[in-house]
Amino acid sequence: MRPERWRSASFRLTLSIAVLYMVVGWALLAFVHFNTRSIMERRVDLGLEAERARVLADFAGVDPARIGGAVLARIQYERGSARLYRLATGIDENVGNFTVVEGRLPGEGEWSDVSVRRAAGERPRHARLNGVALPAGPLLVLGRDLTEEDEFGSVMRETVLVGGLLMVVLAVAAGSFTGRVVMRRLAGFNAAAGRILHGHLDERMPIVGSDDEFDHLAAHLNDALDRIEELMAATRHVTDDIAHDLRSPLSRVRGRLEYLQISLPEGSATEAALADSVADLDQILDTFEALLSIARLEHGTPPHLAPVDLGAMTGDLVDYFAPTAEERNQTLSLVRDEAVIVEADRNLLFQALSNILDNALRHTPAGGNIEVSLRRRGESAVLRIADDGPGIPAEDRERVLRRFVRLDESRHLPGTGLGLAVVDAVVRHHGAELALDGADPGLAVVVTFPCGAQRANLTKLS
Amino acid sequence: MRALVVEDDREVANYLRLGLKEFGVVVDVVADGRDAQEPARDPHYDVLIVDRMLPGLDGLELIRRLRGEGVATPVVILSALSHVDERIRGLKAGGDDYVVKPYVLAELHARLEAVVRRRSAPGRRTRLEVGDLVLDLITRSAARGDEAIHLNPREYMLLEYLMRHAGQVVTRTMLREAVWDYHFHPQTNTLDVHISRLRQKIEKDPDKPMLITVRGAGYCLRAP
Repeated sequence: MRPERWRSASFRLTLSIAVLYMVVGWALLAFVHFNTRSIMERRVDLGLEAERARVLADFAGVDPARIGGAVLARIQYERGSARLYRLATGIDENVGNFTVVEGRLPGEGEWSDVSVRRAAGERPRHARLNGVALPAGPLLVLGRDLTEEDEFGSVMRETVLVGGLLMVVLAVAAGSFTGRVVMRRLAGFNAAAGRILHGHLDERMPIVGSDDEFDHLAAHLNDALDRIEELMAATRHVTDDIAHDLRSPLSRVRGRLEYLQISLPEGSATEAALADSVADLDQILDTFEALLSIARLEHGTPPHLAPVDLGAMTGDLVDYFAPTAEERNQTLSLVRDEAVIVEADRNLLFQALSNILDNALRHTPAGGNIEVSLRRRGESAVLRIADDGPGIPAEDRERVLRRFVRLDESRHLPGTGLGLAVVDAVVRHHGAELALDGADPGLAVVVTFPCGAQRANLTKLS
Repeated sequence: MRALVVEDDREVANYLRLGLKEFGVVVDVVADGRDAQEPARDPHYDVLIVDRMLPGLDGLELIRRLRGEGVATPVVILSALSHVDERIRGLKAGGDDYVVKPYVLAELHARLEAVVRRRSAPGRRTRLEVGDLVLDLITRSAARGDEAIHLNPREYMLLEYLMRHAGQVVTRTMLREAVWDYHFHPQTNTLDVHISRLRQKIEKDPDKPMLITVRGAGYCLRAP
């Protein structure tokens, strides 16, 4: 089953990687931005402090009456630079190369950030000011025009913005790429696990040779699967060997008992006990036979299949069981498409289908309905045997296909507990698939046969 | 009836001999395939019972050689191999029937009877008669005395088989194979229902039934 897109691990992984990339990218840009700014601010302050020292030295011996001229001379000399000067007190107050538009002039040793205008009609610009009390008395305000720094700042902000957007795009791209790479590996694992669950026990997790964590994980899982397969094969062999080795002595015992039984007068107590013993032995032998036939079907020679008219076979099947159903007041109906040909071993398949239908009849109460339908669905033929009996709870449906599994409700009915396991083995032997479904109410056993194009493949295989 | 059993498992052979004696079959036993070639040619035997796997000479090979020499005695193959392919191989080799171990003695006996009778039965017949029950093979119609019996196709086939083997025990497996043409073992005795329907149509007097159930074996149709 595919999860909804936004819930899929792939989507969430992509998103988290993208967000992570974005956060890291933005943090990096922000760090550069703030650091650059603080370095620039320090440089401005250092420059102003150096200028302050120079001014104090240069104006040390200047006559207070000529300070205005000296400041003008300095302004003249510094023309074109970012340096600002203005006398804030004294007789030459207001001599300077700027006027404050917003903010106030600083006192001695004070700093202030203001908005200034350097010439009439110009647009205001930012500046940083520092007050210097000249030795001669008046307060000279030194400053630095921050236009350059502002321009640099705005370039910086643009860079951060554009870079950030680029980062988002990159993050999403990288996220989805990383996500896809990871997901492709996981999808490989998922597919392999699915095939294993469907009985292909020789299937293994894909190893691509990248020697990364995924390959290591796959290798570990494969080791575990090898062990499981070995254990399962060992268990199976033990069961099969027991079945095989016990069959001969049990057959001899059966022969002896049967001989004793038929040589005794019919109806005597001993004869009846012997008949019961023979019947019990028959059930044991049936169980062994079923186990051995599953083993043969799963590990035996490749199937000898020939074209079989499945429509005719379902007709025979229903015909064989119709009187029994009638006897029990059950309605047995058949719906089928014409000419559905599948590759099959007709006796084996008929045996399996008769087991399914027999089960349906036995588990459906008197007055119930059993419907056998055969439909062509594109490249496959779908045979469905549905009843309106008590059915099998959804959580038990997979389980009843296993060997010896009998649900509590059916323990009182005769059977080996291998019926459906044998049916499943026969169905797989035919390259077909067995599924148990709810029939609302009741149980539907659905056998899907490959035919048409898939049939050609099967022929090639065998 | 005289039968030659070729079987290497002495105990199986012994109980086969004792068991078949109860059914009135005289049995001789040979344990080796090679040793069986000479007595098997003896026309006194009505039937040969050959185990599929034998020391010396394999059961199928023994049958092939006998058939090659023109020995026509009916052969029933006994085998622990139940797969349908094995069955087909057995019949192709020249066997007349194939019985899987462990077998039910009554089933084996019924099959022996069937193969022996098949050989001695006259060729084509157009009409089968058992007592006052008559089956016309040409018009495919049945009658009991003057009364016509209406049979559906499957019932007709059942009755035909039973009438062809009148007086013999016919097992359920034999009927399934002959009438439905599938070799299979149902979990329940669904066949009995078909038989009881057939009974309702052909029986006249419940005290003098024609089609009787032979416990542990199958059915037998005979004149009342």
